[in-house]
Amino acid sequence: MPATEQTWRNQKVMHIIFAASALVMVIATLWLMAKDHNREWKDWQLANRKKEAWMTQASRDKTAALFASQLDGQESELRRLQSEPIDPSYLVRFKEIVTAEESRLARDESQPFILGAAASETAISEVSSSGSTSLEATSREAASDFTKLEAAFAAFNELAQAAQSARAQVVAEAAKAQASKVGEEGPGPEVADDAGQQPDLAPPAALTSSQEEALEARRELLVQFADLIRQAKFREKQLVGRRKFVSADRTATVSEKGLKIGEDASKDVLETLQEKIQGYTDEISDLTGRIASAKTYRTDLEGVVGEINAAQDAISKQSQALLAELSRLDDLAYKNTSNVFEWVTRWPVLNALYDGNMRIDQIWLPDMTINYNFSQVARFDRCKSCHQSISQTAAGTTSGPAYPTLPREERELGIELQTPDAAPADGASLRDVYGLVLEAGVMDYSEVTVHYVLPQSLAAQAGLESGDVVRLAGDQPVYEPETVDVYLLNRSKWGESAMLSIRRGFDHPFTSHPRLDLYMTDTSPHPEKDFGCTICHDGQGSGTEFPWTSHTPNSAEQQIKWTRDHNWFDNHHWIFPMKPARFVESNCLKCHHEKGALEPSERFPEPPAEKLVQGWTLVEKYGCFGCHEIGGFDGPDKRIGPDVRLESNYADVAQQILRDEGLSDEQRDWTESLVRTPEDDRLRHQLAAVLNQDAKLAQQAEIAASATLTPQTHRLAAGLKDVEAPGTYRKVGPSLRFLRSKVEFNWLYSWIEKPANFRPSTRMPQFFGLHEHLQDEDDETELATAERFEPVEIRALSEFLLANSSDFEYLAPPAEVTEKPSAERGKWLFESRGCLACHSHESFPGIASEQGPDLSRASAKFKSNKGALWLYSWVKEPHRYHVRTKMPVLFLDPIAEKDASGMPTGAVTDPAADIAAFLLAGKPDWTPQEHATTWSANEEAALKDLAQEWLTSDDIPSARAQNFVHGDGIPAHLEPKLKADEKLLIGLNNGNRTDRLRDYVARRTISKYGCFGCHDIPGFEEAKPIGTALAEWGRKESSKLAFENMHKFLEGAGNPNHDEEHVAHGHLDPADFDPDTSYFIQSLNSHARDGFIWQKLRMPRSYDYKTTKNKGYNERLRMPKFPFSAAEREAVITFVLGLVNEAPAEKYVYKADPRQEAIVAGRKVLEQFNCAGCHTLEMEQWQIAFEAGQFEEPSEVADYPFLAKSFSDKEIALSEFKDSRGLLQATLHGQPMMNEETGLPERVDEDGLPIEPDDDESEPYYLLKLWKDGLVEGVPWLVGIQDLMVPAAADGYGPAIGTAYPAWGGDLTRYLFPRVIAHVHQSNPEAKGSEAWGWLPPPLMSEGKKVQTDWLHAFLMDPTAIRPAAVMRMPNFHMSTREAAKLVNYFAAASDTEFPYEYKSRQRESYLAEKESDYPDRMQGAMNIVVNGNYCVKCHTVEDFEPKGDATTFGPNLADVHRRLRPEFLRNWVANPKRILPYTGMPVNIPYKPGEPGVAETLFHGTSVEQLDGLVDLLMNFDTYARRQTEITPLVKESAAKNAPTTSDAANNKPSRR
Amino acid sequence: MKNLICLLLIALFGNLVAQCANAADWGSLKGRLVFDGTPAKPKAIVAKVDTEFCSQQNLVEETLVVGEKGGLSNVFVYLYVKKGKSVDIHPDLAEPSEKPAVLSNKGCRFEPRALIVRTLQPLEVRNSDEGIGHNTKASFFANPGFNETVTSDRPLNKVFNKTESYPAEVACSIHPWMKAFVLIRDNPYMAVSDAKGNFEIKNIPAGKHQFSFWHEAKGNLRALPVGSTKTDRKGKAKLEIKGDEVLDLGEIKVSPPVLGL
Repeated sequence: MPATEQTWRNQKVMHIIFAASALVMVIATLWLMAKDHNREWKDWQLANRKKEAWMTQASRDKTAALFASQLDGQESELRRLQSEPIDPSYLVRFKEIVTAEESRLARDESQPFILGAAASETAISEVSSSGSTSLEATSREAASDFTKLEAAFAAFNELAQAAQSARAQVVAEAAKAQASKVGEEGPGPEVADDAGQQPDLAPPAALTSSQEEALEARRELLVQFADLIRQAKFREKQLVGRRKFVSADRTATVSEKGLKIGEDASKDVLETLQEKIQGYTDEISDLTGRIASAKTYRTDLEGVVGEINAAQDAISKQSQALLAELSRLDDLAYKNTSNVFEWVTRWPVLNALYDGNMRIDQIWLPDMTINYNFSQVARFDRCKSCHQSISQTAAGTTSGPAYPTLPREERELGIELQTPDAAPADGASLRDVYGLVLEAGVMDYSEVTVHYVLPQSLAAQAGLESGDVVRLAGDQPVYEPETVDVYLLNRSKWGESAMLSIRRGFDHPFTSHPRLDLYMTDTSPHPEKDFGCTICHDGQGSGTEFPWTSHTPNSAEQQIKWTRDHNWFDNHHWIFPMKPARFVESNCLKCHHEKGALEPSERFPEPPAEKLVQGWTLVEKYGCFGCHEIGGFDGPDKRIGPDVRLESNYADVAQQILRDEGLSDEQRDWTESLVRTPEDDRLRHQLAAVLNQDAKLAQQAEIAASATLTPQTHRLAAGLKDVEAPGTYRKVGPSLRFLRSKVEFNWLYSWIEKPANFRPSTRMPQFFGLHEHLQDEDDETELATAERFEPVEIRALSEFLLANSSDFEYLAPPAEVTEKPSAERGKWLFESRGCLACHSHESFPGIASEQGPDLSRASAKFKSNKGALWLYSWVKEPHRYHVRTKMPVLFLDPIAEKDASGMPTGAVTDPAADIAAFLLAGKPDWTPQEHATTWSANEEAALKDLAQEWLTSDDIPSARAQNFVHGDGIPAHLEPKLKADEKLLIGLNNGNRTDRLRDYVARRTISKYGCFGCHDIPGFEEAKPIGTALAEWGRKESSKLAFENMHKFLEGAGNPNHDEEHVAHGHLDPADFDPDTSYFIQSLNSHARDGFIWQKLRMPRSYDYKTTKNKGYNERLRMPKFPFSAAEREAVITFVLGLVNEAPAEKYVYKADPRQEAIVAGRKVLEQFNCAGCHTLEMEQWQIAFEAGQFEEPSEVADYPFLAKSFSDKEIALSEFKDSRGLLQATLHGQPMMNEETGLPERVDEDGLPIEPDDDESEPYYLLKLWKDGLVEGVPWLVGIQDLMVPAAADGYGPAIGTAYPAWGGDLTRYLFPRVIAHVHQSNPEAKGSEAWGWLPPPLMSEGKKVQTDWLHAFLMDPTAIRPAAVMRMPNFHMSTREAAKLVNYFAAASDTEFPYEYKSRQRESYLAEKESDYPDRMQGAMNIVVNGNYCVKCHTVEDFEPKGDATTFGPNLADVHRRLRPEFLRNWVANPKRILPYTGMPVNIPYKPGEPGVAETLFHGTSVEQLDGLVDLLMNFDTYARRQTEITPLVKESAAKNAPTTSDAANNKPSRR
Repeated sequence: MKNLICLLLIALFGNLVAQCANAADWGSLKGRLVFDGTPAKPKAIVAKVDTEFCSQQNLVEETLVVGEKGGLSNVFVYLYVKKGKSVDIHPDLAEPSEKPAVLSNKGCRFEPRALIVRTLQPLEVRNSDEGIGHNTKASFFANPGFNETVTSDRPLNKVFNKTESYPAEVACSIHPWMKAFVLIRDNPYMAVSDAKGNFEIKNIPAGKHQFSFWHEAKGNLRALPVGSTKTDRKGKAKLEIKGDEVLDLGEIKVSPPVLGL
């Protein structure tokens, strides 16, 4: 086919199509580019940059304003200094130096210059000598002429004198003016306190001109000085040049000689050359000497001039520093301001090439992966693209936020601004009058912002800050600065305050992260470059737009706002939405698997994760882990999260084994031991082997009879097996093993029915009567079922628990007791023996501990005879009843009463009986409801029906079950197929039916509700927790959560606003609720986990709403209701949501160093046994800020040098650092002086006297007693020397500026302090209240430094009495050796000392031998001090010796010190006890006297240091000393050979003598 | 006023200004403190420590010691100077005495009960009870406290640098009933009332001054009628001392409530 012009498609059409599509494409491309260009984050960055520039400018302007006056002052000061006469002694010294140099040079010249040079070498010597001497001669000539210098000096001093007297006149006039002013106000008392202040007047012209003249003269004078110095310099230079020249000559001659040697030159030639070289060498050394002298001369001259100028130079330097700072700020301001170039580069396309200072700010975390379902992917956190200032610290601080996120109440403020007393001059500006400078807004031009505030101005006093937005002036809205001007400067009345309403701080994302000491900064434990953002916050880190980053609102209100302002939506597809603010701490659990690591520490005294720790503690306290296992391990070693699980049940198993009467005596002994020490693995294995062996015997028919133990016991062997990574928590409830011996049926019934009946504050949850979901009319039948079966369950449980109880042997009071129990004595004992450390009681309103139950109503529980018997046994020996109780043995041994003079009266009281009497005293204010002892017909019918329900299963249909229950029970032949509980129903008859059915139902009920999760119940040793495991609950898919009919419930019966109007409209709008509730309602609406758990904790049975119809009674929900407050509930949720099993890479998981690990592990034990109830474990920490010079330096005290505390240069520098407020900071550990009558911290006046209640004039202070050496303004303040007077907060407790972090522990000690004083004063009015701390449990801050580790371990296991003065003894907690070891390590680690072992060289024989080689009777000498009536024995027991007198002044037995105390501690203690315990009454016995004895040398020969050393050595080796006094030889029977027994001889079998 | 200018000039020009001649006048203050009531018979102290020796000393409670004609002893009267200020000192009294102030442990009690010490004047603590161990525990406010054993052959010697605002307690930890009070001031204008209740302070610069009245039973003696005025809540009374005159306050009646009794 021929080619034609024709195209297949019409060209024109095609053109149109192409044109159109090209156009579309262009539009699409432009659209795409526009979309790409206009990214949200750019706006945020630009805004932030604007903010930064503004802030820098404000700070620059403020600094400039501040510096201006300083620079002026410095300038005039410089003028003053420069026009001051110069001390003529400088001139004299200067001349002396010059003259001395001259005479030195003259002396040198008179001697032949080149000593060793040969005469023939005159040429060389001429050159050199003439060269150098002529040089020196010239300088000398000039120098000797002082006339010019003297003239200049005289001229200057004359003018300077004139200038000075002119100035003096000015000052005197000013002083006169001021004095006459003072005079008008009346004759001032003694003194003028502001004498240092200079009159603030402009210098009159006369002074200025005379100063000018003096300055001119001074310049002239300095020129004269400089002339001479220049000459000296010139000479020095010449000499150096000369030496270079000679050196070069020498080098040339040396090489010439080398050549000549090569050329075999004659000896003469070589010698000549050698002489020449020698000549040069000598000259060089001579020149070197001269140069040195010349240099010394020059520097001496310079030194004199330097001294003359020293003061001026210092001032100039200061000025330069100020100028440098200003120029730095200028640079910074310039850098932060966008310029034209940047602006251009931000244009589309160009912006792709140059970022124009705007870029995606991203942190790449290759090892911090995120789970993308199929793989772990590196994180890219781009959050900083918008949150630009997030890690910015305030200038001059390491962790203060530059832009703090302020709480709502601090954001909107009313400022009361004091106006001047009189109208200011016309034309005065806000800056002149108030020190206030305003500007248009930072983020919004329609706002008015405080640009800066001058220090000490009226605005500063009112608290205005740079950046505050002024919204209202009076009640007028402010849109421009003039409004404020008018308001503040045109007032009708002056001297009154004006009101400004301001808004402070920035919104997100312009703020800094809170707690920069913990996060973001490089010095924090979580630097941003290593951790990024999303590991803690979750959310989509790679997103750069608000909605796509999965922010999560914290309340419905916020959600509405975000939806409106930022297009927020709930992105269901992103499974890691950001944690809302309320749960932000949850994710700490990813890396922190021990609670102790999240608690306040010395480094971070402010709680790092308070809510989370609270939640964790609540989970521990309420025993959630009894039903819900929280496993922290994946395999034996790999940690995945917190591990909160029940301990192995060995003790309970062993107790159950003890029920078997077939145990042999030995087996019984083993078992009893295991009950006491369940951690003893060897014993447990032994016992398990016994059971297994016996079980084997029983299985073999022919020897079955030889098995002694029951099959039940055999089965218990399984409970003794080893467990991989066992749990560590004890059950939180008391043991019910011996319940019968403790409580009555009626009480028990009431308790189970509703624990709050008896004790409103109890932790036991409520299981019954939770029917809020059964209130609808159509649920009537379901409600009736519950109301019919629940009483049956309660009655069955109560009866079963009592019937199933083991027998308990009560303790009988000791025979020596003569007195009847007394509630009055018991009350003081209860208060003072430590009970209040764990329990509260309404008789003692000042203290409330929650470790143990509130005992106010004990009498209602134990009013029966057996209750009283039980209570006595319990108080005295709690482990007898409940082996795993945390209640310790308090050593309530009989007390032989003494009279006022300390003699026994013959009366013996029993403190345990007294305490029991106190608890049982009074008529109970509550009695349980009486219940019939027998089952009524209705109850029996219900019991049968319930048993039938239980029995009914796939294998046993309902009808058959009914037959079993009503007939003869389950046939015996079915036994092998039956479960343990069902076996109870074999062989039912009318005689045993009710009891058997009761036991059956009770056992099933216990299993259903999981009572054994908290209580030891006989027969349930092996039961497993009944609840859902929680280790991964924080990531549980919400589709797996049974929300059931929750929405319907909440809209109706379960509406939290049930009583209010909201119920009417029947639908659930989160916005109708308060912010906290609204969050959870919203969460429930979107089927999220946090809403689910919130409702579960709030109304645990509500998920059964409308589901009960189709469930059996026993299938209904069983979670009980705990008495959580809303805040507690949220804390628990915070903890549970953090259980995500997402431990990141190993390097991110918090790994404590061994010391920290010991601290963390120890804290758990401390908490378990409530050590902090009595002991102070950390003193209060006061972080104070103050003005320089606030604290007068403490007086120096001459003391043993080893007691001095040295601080590092860094610490000192830090303590002298001024923050942005110009304040210094100090961290002090201690506690304020307490009032001996009230026990409350005493507020004192400036003289240190307590401020009386009606005194509102005195400035309040606290007298802070230091417990740790501290640094204040670079000066060490040492413990026990002097108290610090810290200005007190105007109201409330703490320092005026700063924070007082509370002490950890010691509540009881502080509570008892005034009370023991009052009590002791009753019988002993002279006892010293100030020493009462010594009668109470000691603080343990540096216990590790004090005691030896092995002693402490033994003491914890078996505490002995140490201090006779103490009102209570350390109780015995029956802790395991592992727990004791953890405590020992804790104390050592916390006080930063050696553990687990410490080497005590003082206790080595070799050490003693060496010391004794110089002074053989050294130990005896030290003993002389000990037994001298003036010293140790005055107050201390020593072995068998006991001091007489007042026990409140007695100290511990010195014979035991060598086992207890660490040598260094003992030395420091004896040297000056107050340096360790500020309150101690122990005196310094050997005062430090350098080179002299501290005590009489007749006792111990040597200096005070040697005497102290000797005494310490004796006390540390008391056993060695005692051993030396003991002779064993006399005890050995003499002539052992004579008395030796006869032995047989192998050969003849006859007795023979050896 | 002259003083004021003088001080101002000294502060400004230091040694360049000739020493300001001080022509201040000097006066004295005296008075007698009388207990206005019937004192209870002092309670006997039962010594539980060193019984053999101490019980023979007929020790009694010494908080309130009233002598003949009701003279109240052990009241501290001293010139109050505001913190950071100072007072002119008479040339005769410019230097603190080199003679030590002595506090003795004697007969299981401190002698004297109330003692005044000037800064830089030595304080000697003695033990006159040979063979009886004593320790002396002093708790000061501005000066470092001490607590040392003192034996009869080795007295303690202490010097203090800083002025105290009120008397400090000195005690013995071994014999808890032992108590004394020591006032340390950086000026000589202080006195303790003697057994008859008399006190006198000499050579006080003329002018209006505040005087503190302090007794161990109560601390600051509040609302104490002194001359024509009364002490304030801090136990201070403003009195005018005239040159070359003795301001005699006469009998100052101390009622039991003033002492907190």
